[in-house]
Amino acid sequence: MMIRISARCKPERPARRLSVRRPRLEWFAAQRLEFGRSRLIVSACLFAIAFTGLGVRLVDVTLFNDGIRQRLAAATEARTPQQRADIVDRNGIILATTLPTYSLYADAKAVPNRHAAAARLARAIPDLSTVEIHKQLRTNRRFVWLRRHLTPRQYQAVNALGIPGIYVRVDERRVYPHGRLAAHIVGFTDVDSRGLAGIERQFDKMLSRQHRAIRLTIDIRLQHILHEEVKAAVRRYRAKKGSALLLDARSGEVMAMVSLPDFDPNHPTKAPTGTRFNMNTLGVYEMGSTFKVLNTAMALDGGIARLSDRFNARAPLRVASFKIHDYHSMGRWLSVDEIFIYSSNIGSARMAIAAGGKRQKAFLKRLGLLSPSTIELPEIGMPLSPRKWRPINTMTISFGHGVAVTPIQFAAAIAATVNGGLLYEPTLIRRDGGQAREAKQVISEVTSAQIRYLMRQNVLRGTGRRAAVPGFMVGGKTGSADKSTGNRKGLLSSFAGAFPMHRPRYVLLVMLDEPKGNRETSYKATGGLVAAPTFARIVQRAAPVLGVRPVDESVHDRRWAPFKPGSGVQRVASFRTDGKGR
Amino acid sequence: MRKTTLLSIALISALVAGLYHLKQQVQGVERQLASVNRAIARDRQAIHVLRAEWAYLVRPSRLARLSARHLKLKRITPNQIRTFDELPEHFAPAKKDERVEQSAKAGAAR
Repeated sequence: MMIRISARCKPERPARRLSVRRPRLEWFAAQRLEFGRSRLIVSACLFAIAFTGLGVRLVDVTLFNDGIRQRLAAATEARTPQQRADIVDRNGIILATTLPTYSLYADAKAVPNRHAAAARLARAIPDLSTVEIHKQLRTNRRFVWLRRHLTPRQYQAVNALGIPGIYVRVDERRVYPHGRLAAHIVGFTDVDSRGLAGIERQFDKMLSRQHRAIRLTIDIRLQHILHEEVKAAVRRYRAKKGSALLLDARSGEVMAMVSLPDFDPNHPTKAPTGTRFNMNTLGVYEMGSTFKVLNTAMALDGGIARLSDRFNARAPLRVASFKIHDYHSMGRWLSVDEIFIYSSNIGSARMAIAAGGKRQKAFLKRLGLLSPSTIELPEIGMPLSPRKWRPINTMTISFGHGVAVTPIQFAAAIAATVNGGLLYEPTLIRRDGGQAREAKQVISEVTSAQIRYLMRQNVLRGTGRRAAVPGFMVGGKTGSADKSTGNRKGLLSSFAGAFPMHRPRYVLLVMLDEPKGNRETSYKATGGLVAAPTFARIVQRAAPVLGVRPVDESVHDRRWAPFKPGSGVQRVASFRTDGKGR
Repeated sequence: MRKTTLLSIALISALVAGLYHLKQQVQGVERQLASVNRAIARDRQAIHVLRAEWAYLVRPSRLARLSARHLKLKRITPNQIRTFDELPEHFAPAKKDERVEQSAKAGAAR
């Protein structure tokens, strides 16, 4: 450029002499030329800098910069469409997953012969009527759903029809391979995969965002065992409802949880009313005599009574207009262990009165029975307790009437009384590598050992004999609560227990709502007659799955000796609960 | 002057040819990558569906039914469960070093 400009200037020079005005002009031109030249130099320098910069960057990017290559590689990696995460059991078996399906929709304006189209579609999809389809097509909208989630066969048939304006779109659908087996826990979603109940609802956001499956604490095999046995018991004793709940006493993990009647989460809208109700977490019940476990623990732990102390249970107890009876009346003074083993209401009431209402309320609160459970489900029942804690309340609560709690929180409290006094919050979410969970010491180790003894004795020689399973050291407490609702007289029969009792690992709670006795049970339907045998059947099948080894029971039962009433409680401390000291 | 012009023309055409070739190659590789990625996605989806199918097929109720039909097994009772300690001496499991040897043999056979 510069060269050319100077060349063009040259011919002007001879003209200089022609005019006097020229020198001024020349000076002026020279001035302008200087200007132009310096501008050019400046811009050339700028360009040179820019191009050098580009060159350096080019070399840098192509030869030296490795990071960008990795990022590029990552960007082109295979990506699967974002799907709602799976829910799996503790062994990784799928409980809920998302599968691709096809959904049928129409552009109503584009369908030529609506009557004929509706008739042909109805033939391809048998459970969709011509009238229904025609009604949808008549809306004249550009987008109407005809049917969500076709079966592969229906998809094929619709495709083969080739009707204009009828389209199929890839959709996804939540599938529960195990159906009703864990329905109340896993829950279900709506047609657009939004969680409506159970874990699906509780962790809805997490499931729709993350890709990793949620691992639950339940074991589908145990779930099956509980389901089968509760179902059999409900049928055998013609109960209205039934439930069972298996809890790991040393972590609060729910191993299995069944509530009948149940429903198929694959078709939640077809579920009959009431079947979605989860007895274990949503229902609140007056537990009846099983509550005596807690009452006894309270009395022993608070130093109100020792195992050998006796209470008057000779005659029914009259308080105001109430009268407290015993089912299995002994008509004499009973020691604390006898009160427990023969399930004496009168004795329990007297123990509670000795402890006082204040202590009782504080104790139940400490066990988490007066506030809702923190288990990871949206369906949580609010426990009921008297607003004003009168002496009569104290008495009835001692044998499980007057305070209504959810079975899940009750089971956790039972676990605390047998595991050495540690209260674990029940949970459904399995932690990576089974990390230890935090617990609260609610009763002493010594009291817990005494409760273990009492629960074992109840099965050996008390009301819970039918719960025994040779080899597995079952211990527990029966319960038959009078249902106060309605004018019909019904029972809520239950059995709360643990095994193996010398080192409790699992707590099991079985409940039957309004069971009817049969010939086998001499037409009675108490907890000891209907719930205890069900408990035994479940333990017999579940213990091998849980890896509980059968033991020689006589060896372990002989070790309870220090607890026999009158032999002194001091020796209790020498009994090691961890099974090391022998 | 001429020489540099010719040289730069030669250089430029060589670079253009090289760049064209490289670009063609990259496009080919990219197409291949895309098709492999599609195949991976397809396989992943298939694995996912098969896993769901598997979960459906190992339903405890179905396994119980199949076991009742094809195997003549009864429910286990507690007194059928025994530990090695309870077995007589000659039934006891192989000593540690023997076991190592056996597993090594088994490994070689495989």
